[in-house]
Amino acid sequence: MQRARGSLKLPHRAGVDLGGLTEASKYACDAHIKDSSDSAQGRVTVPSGHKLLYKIVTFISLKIFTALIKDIAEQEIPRFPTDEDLLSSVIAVDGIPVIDSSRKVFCFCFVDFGSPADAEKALRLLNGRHLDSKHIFRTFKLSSLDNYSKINDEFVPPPEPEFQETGDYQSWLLDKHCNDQFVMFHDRMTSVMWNTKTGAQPCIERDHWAEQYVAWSPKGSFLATVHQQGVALWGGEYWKKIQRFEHSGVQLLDFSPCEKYIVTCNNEIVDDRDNPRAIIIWDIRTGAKLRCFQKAGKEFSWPVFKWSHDDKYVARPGDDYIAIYETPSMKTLVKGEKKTILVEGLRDASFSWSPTVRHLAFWVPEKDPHPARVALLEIPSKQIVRSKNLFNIEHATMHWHENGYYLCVKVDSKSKKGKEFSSFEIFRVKEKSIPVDTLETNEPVYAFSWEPNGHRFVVIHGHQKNSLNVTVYTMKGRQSGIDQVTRLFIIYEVLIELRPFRTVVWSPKGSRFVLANLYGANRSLEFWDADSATRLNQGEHYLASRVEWDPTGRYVATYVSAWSEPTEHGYYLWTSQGRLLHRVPVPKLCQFAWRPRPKDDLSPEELKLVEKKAREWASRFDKEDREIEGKVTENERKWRRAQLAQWRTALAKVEAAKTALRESWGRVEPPPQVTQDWIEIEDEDEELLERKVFA
Amino acid sequence: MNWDLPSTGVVFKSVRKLNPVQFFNLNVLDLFVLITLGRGFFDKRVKPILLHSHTRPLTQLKFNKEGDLLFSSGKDISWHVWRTSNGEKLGSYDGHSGSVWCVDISADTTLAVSGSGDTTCKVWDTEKGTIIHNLTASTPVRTVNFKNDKHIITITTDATMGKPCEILTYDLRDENSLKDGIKFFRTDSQPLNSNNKVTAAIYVAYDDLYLTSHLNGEVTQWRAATGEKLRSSCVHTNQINSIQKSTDEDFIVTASKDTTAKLLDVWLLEVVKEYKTPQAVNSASLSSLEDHVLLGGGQDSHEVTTTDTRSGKFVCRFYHKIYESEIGRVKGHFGPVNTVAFHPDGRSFASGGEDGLIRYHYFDDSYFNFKFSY
Repeated sequence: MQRARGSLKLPHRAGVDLGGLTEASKYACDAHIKDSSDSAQGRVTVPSGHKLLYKIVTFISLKIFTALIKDIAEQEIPRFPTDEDLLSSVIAVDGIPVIDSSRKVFCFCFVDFGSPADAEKALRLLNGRHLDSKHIFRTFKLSSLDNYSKINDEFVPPPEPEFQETGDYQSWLLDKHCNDQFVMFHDRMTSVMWNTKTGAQPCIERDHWAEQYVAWSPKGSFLATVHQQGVALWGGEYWKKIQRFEHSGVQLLDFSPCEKYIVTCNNEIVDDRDNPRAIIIWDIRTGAKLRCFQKAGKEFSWPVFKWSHDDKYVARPGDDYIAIYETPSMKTLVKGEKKTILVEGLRDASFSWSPTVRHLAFWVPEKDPHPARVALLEIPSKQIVRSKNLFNIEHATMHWHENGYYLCVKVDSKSKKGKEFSSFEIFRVKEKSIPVDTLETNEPVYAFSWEPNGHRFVVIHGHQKNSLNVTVYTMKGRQSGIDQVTRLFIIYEVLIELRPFRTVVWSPKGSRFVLANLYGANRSLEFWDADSATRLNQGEHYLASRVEWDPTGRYVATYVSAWSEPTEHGYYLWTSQGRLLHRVPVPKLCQFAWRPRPKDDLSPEELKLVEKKAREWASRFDKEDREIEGKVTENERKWRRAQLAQWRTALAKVEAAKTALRESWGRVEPPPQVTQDWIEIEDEDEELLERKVFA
Repeated sequence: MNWDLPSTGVVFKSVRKLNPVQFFNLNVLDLFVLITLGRGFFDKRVKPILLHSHTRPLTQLKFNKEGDLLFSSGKDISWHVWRTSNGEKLGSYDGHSGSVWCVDISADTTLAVSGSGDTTCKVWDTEKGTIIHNLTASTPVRTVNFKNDKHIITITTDATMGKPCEILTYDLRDENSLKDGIKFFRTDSQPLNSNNKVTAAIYVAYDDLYLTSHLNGEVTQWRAATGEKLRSSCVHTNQINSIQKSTDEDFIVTASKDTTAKLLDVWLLEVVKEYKTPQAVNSASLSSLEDHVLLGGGQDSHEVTTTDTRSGKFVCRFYHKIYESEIGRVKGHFGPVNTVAFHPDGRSFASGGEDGLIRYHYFDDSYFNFKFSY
């Protein structure tokens, strides 16, 4: 075997990157490689001529090499190897440390494996392998050297892609009348509608726009349509395709809170360990695949990846650990062997991020001798900010307040007699040293919900299955100068047969909420005002399966989805006071979703001003509303006039056909007309008079 | 014909004041709720008159030309005649031994004809209730129609028991034709089998045309004078349940299982308007007074018991004839509405349901005051 002669210089690099690889390849280019008959298979040679080479070259992970080499050495070569064969069986390994006093020097070597297949295998195994934290192997085939040598030394910038006009992503917020949009996915059609004063007006409708379902991004900028091939994002003024993510058989998707990234999941895929394809994290703006992950376990709760409020970190739970990745590099936050934060006893979905700060709340169940524990973890410092031990708990669920003021941990326990009951541990996260309030209910709790933009919450609880109470609590109840959790009022203490409410939905602007019963035959709604503790209205929507507040808290939609019910598909629209506005049947309606709005930027002072001026402005808005209503009827009138004209032409056509046919039969005179087929509106006065005479 | 009521014809001017005992004492068991009032008061009536005599689902309701009588047939063996002004039952026509599928009244109301599942078709003296002719077909009779001159009857039969669907014409003056009927409308070019059998038929354009609707959603136009098939048009995607004509006989409205009703002109068989509903339409009728179409329907009768009454949508819907939009609905039936009919003057309507009830409604002020502005 010929010795490969490297150049005299050795690369002095702190890390290995792509640039380094090409640099190394240049050295290898210089090396003159020739086959010779006495080539000993599998011998390892290092570049000669360097002043450091007199030192002993050591390979720390030689075990891998020797195992491979032994195998290969025993094989026989069936024919005389050609140039091609030998070249393709040799790989170059870069990033090999050379031991000297500075310990910073890297070297490279060529390894001949005899057969291309083995070389291929070694290439795959060694490439990117960490020898230790500082040394990473980079491998490439010698036969691909030509390619590297062809690389131009001068940097040629890639051609800039042509600018695609997609329009303003938030154009819908500039609507003159501040109307909201919603999307309906029904019978293979997807319609985005404007919810106007006079009813829903279509904004855009497309047949077969989505295959499986649609989803809004958290701030409403994009509409994601889910197809067999992947996910597509649409938006802007012109509803153009903004980005597409190819992920065959995608089932689930999840946006990051700032709409920078999207996670897609196909959990039924047969996954390759080396090349996972089940869960993919994408960059929305560039459409680039950031990282792929193996599928979640058989039972998992979506989303698997939980995002911090600012999209900086994304966390994935595992058994006894939390893996946290930093964006956009998608590298793990924790260095070291395991690359995860170890939390003993942590289960899937038992942690959640604060919606405003980089705090991660998690709970772990009891494990002898440690009690169960709820803790707040600060990222990236990995410091426990606050933790509390809990005893005798079965399960805990975490509810963050939308503004990050409070964290409520609902603790489900069982008494010795087997009676279930729940209690709440409420962390006042914004206060100094995070005090914790405990609220005991001694009853099982069926629903819990924080008031958005407020300090109240609603709990539906009850001792027996047939009797439920709805109670409203406040966090601002003052007792001896300190804020305390205090009961504000109880709504019901009645039998569940009469009011079986299991769901509570707050208005996105707070102060109002809807109690709903969405199961069984008796589906009803009640609209409540928490400020005055009064019931505003009650209603009924037969078979309704969902309650959706619009993002401004002005309207409530209840709808019957074709996914859950066989008939009655459609939606009802209510005002926030519970007045039924429209009943709209939509055949095969599957999905109804309001377009979310980004959080408003108004400062507290500005908000106060708005409250102050509301009455003053109301008259102006009322006037505008009246104008709109007038305009729409004008449109309607036009349409009706057109219909009437059409009808008249149809009548004339029929008349002509009639005469023609009768004439062809030789029957000329038409039969007498009995009554006029339609009555003109001008006749109205006449007709009314006639009726008066009649009465 | 059995006259159920004393021939004096009791008229109750203030029924609401009568207590139930008195009501029964008067021996008017047939009248479930009776609101009898003369014309002129009808616009104050909101409650319907319930005509309660059928024990099985209704199949057809028909007014005579003048509109003073309402004829009803159902799946029970006798069919009835009612006085429209007060809901009084005048009598029943007994003689069939199977479900009565269809009835028709001659233009002068002297003759009535009924077709039945017992494979016969009987011509009745309307007043006396006696059978004048008994016409026998080979399969159940699905439709019967008088020509305006009251001597000619055209019937269609079902395609069952291995026999094809037939269109037979009888001339009541001609003894020979009464035996087997004449195959006047020639179906040789396209035989009618169980896929495209006739489901409804009607004489239109003052006896110039005869229209048949078929199981596959087609409507066929025949020339009534010669019996030749003029044209055929596929207007619906599913079975057409009924056809009714407009007063000027230039338009028909079809009611189909494909959840729509369509307004067709009889000459070109072109769809002029379409009325969409959420459920199958069993029957549709055109008002002679207003531009309104009345649609009755509901889910299939064999599915009724499996769902809540609210999901059955057992309502009569009013649509605007030209604007195709729904303008009102009348609830009340416990089952699908099988047949609806506007009174010839357009001021009242009757609906008959799967529940065996006939509901007879007089429109109130709100109906007449409702106008579309344009």
